[in-house]
This record gives sequence, structure tokens and C-alpha cells, in this order.
Amino acid sequence: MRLQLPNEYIFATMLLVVSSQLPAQRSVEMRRAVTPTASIRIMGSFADLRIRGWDKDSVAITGTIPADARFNGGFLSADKTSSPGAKFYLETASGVPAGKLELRVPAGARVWAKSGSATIDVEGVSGGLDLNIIGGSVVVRGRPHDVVVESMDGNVSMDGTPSYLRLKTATGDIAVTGGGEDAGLTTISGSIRVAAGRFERARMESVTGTVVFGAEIAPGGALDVDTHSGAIDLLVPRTMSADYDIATVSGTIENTLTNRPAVPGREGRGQEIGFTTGTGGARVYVRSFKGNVRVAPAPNVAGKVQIKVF
Amino acid sequence: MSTFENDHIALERLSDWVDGRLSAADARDIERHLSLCANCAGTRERLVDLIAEARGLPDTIEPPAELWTGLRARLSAPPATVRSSGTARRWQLAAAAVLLVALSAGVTALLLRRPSESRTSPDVVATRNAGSAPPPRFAAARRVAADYETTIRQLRETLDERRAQLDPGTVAKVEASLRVIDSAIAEARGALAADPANLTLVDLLAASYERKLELLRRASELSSSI
Repeated sequence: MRLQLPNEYIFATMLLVVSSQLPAQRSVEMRRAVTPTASIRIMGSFADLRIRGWDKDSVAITGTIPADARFNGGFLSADKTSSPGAKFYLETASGVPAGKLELRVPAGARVWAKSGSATIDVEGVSGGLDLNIIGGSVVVRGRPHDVVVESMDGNVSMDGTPSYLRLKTATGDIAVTGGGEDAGLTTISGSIRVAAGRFERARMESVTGTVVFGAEIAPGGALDVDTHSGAIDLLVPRTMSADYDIATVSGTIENTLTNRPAVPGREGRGQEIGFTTGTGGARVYVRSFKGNVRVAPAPNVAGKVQIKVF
Repeated sequence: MSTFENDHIALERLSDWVDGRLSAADARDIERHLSLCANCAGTRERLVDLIAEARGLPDTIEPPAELWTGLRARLSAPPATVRSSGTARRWQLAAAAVLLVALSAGVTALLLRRPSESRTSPDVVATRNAGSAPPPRFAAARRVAADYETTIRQLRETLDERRAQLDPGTVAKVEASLRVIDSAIAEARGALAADPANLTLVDLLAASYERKLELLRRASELSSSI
């Protein structure tokens, strides 16, 4: 004879089992007035960090962390005046990244964050960002003055117009939209994709990763690209005035931006090409060992190229 | 970078000092200022207290400060002009890279020229400006090559020493990327040995060395506090 249990009983039992397997959590909340350009540092084993710039001269850090995690740190001034900075540390018992934090800072603050493997999402910060992860991902939106992100295999995405941008990965992909004054994008085997925007200076470097530049260089500006074996796609507006200097050691060059064909390189190996569009002025300097290079007009309106950004 | 005794130390800088991230020379500047400025000394005390509260967190594992003194200056200086977007540093590395392959009078002569001068195609309209980066001298290039080799070796040793303290997954990622770079270096070196006057190869080889240096630096820094 089979025992018939009510559905409610079964559901309650399942809920009990599931909840008993979830790690206990506790909440974190710290708030304090700070200076508009406060320096905020957060490091440790957080898994998910949202950083939001807001129109208040205060810092608020909230979220949930494992019950057995240690969360330390605090603000720099001991009295009640606005603090010029803060440091926060999170250590999980296992060392495995865990916890979800939201850090609200004055828009003009400088934020420094470092974790092993984490998802970091930033928006609304106009000061500076220095973010460092191994895995996970970093997404930055807005107009920070300067952005420096380093990761090993985490993907990095920047959507905005920072004055100074440095994104570095080993295997992670880099995606940039928006433009800026000075951009340096470096990877070993990840891809680099720049879609839309205008740059004063941009340098993109990879060993095996592909590079796609679908933006514009300002008059008098400079674009430098080099890869070892990564393919290079330059999709630029026909209206962009620039001097192009492109060479490969053993790769090919396809030019559909102008009528000038590439010519064989040294000793008949590889290819090279030089040409000017418009009145020149901007400098485009491309080198690859065996990556193939394609120079083509941007398929859409000047400066706008449709490139899928992760 | 010196610290002016009449100005307060920027918080970021003081924090770097507390974290032991400054060179010995910069640290001495900070310490001299702290001995004279009660305001900054107070801030220092609060920073130290703050860190004391976080006792028990993973120890930092920073490479020796002296290792980074020259390296950081070379790697982290933001470009000041359009032309200098890494070019001066690249040229130093280019010189070093080619010296690692072959030290010949012919190569040295080529090193003392700008890359645009070696172009054979009359169509190339590179506008590289000679004035912004003086050509490296042979002796300087030799010093850079030696310095570069030493730095790479030291970084590699540092990483090997700390391998056991690192997450195995991270080590695997770093090693895989190093293999990719070493493969590219080997390929470029082989090509350069066959065609030592090819300045495009010199530039690309230097770029690969630079990637390796940068990866080793980052790997060491990632291991320092995570």
C-alpha cells in the first residue's frame, strides 16, 4: 500500500531541503559623508559588485555576504567630518568569491576595486576607476575621467567617453563604444572590438586575438594597431582624413577604402600599403606578422559601425 | 616623484605607501614628510588603524620594490603626445629585442634609423615625426637589452616562487598565455634571424616581448592580494 502525502507537505519538505543547502547570508550596510572626490578602495572575495556614482557627497555600501565572511574596513576620518576616503575588505571563509555588494559613491570619486573572479558593473562615475580582476567581467558605462581595467580571462566592456582608457586582458574580450582622448587596449588572445565613437589617440595590441576598429580618429590623431597573428579589420568612414601605413610580414592586406592595391612586402613576403584619404593628418599605423588586414569603409553612417558588443 | 613638504600627501599616495606599493625613494619622501606634518601623520595613523582592523586577511605578496622601480616607470607612464603613444618605449624595447637576436653592425645601423626611413615603397606616406623620439644609441640599447632580460628572468622567478600560493586555475591561464606569447616570439625571432634588416619584424618582436613583460607583471600583481 502506497503512502499518499499531501502536495503541500511535499512542497514544504522540498523547500526545507533546498534552503538548508543554501549558505547562510547576512547583510552589510555602511554609510558615511565623504568628500566629493573621495578615494574608495574595495578588495577581496566579492563575486558581484555594482558601483554607482550619485549626486551625493556620501558613500553607501550595501549588500549580502556569506554569514561566515569577514567584512572589514571603514572611513578614514575619525571625527564626523566628511571623510576623504574609505577602504573595505571582504574575505570569505573558503576564499571562493561570494557576496553581492552595491557601492554608491560621489560621482567624482576615485574607485579602486580588486577581486579574484567577479562581475563588476560601473555607472555614473566621473572620477577615476582602477579595476582589477582575474575572471568574471567588467562593464563600465558613462564618462569617467580615467579608466584602468586589468583582467586575465574576464571580458571588459567600456561604453562611454573616458579621457584616459587602458583596458588589458590576457584571454578576455575587450569591447569599447563611445570614443575618448587616449585609449590603450591590449590583449593576448582575446578580441578587441571598438564600435563607434571618435578617438584622439588609440592603440590596440594583441598577439593572436582579432582586432576590429569601427570608429573614427580625430584630425591630427593617431591609431596604432599591432598583432602577431590576429586579423585586423579597420572599418572607417570614407570622410575620415588620414595617412595610412600598413604592413604585414606574411599576412595579406585587402583595401576597399581606396583604389590603391597592396604591394608585396620585403623580399616578396607579406604585403604593405600606404595611402592618404582626404587631406590626411590623422595617422593610421598598422603592423601584423601574419594576421590578415582589411581596410574598408564603414558600412553605415560615418563613424557608426554595427559591431556586436557582448 | 617627490613629495613637497608644504603640501599634504594625496590620499591615494599615502594609501600606496601604507600598502607598501611605493619605491624606496618615494617611500623615503613620504616618510620625511610624515615626520614634519601632523596632519598627514594623523591620516597615516587612521589608515594604519583601518588596516589593523582587517588583520587576518590574506597577506600581500608584492614583488620586491627595487624590481619595479625602473619597470613601472617604463610600463605605466601614460603617453604625453600623439607621437609618443608608447613609441619611445617601444623603440627602446625594439632595440633590446633586436639585440637579443643578433648584435651586428648592420642591425645597429638600422636601429639608429627611424622605421620610416627603411621603407622601400614610395607610396607609403607615413608621417612619423622624427623630432619626438631621439634614436636610441647603441650603448643605451645594449643596456636596455640587459635590463630587459634581467627583468624578465626576475619576474619569471618571482612567479615560479609563488606558484604554490596561487590558484591553480590562474596559474594555468597565465602559463597558457605565456605559451602563446613565447610561440609568437619564437616565430618572430626566427624570421628576424633570416631578415635582420626588417624593421617591421623588429617592431613586432618588441611588441611580443612587451606583452610578455606586461603579463608577468600583472600575474605577479594579481597574486599579491587576492
